[in-house]
Amino acid sequence: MDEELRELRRRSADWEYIRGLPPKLREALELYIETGDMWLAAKLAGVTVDEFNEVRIRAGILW
Amino acid sequence: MRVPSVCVMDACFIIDWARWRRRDLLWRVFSAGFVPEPVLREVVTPTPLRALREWMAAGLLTVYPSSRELEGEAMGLVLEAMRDPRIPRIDPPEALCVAVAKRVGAVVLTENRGVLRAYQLAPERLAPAMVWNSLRLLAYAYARGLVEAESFLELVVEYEGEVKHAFSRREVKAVAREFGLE
Repeated sequence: MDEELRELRRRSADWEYIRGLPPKLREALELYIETGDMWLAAKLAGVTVDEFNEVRIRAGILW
Repeated sequence: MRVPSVCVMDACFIIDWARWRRRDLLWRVFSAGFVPEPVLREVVTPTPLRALREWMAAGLLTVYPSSRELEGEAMGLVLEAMRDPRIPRIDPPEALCVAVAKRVGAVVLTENRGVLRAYQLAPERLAPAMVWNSLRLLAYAYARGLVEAESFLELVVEYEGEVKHAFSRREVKAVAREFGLE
């Protein structure tokens, strides 16, 4: 199931949008796509979970 | 299934659930809820903050203060998960929710897969806490007739559309089975 969800996140992502983001947010979104770990990704981005979730939605990544 | 009447909410649950127009369904399932202090700090956008304010004003929700002892217990759970390859990572805030829920006898509401897996593998280890994600909460509410919908799947589709959270169809089927909806 973890692999299925990872694939779902990967396929739903707007990669053009992600590539245009500053490095911290870009790496954090990629970490989220790989692991599904919202808290860790938010910490890498230096934002709260709530703020990171807004970025996730803008990047089209399914949860 | 005996379900505690109290819940402990994690940030990833709150920011999702608050987007759903029928979010107050939560209080048809539970009579009270806690948000651990460090979890509260993760919530900063208007919609979830409004939901928290409304629930606090209604006397349904309050903040559970953190302590060194509680945080130590939570980190123990994080470390335990890191050593068990069957469990996806558990982050400190989710672990803190579990530590609180163990103390007060509550249902942890979280989308963290690590905590859910740890509970599935050894529920007695986390007792008297239970662990649900929003999908399980929806299933329980639907099974008990607390929410109206054409079917459980319709309810899930409505929730997914409004909160932008997609569940794996395999998990939806498994949860439907778990709550006797098949």
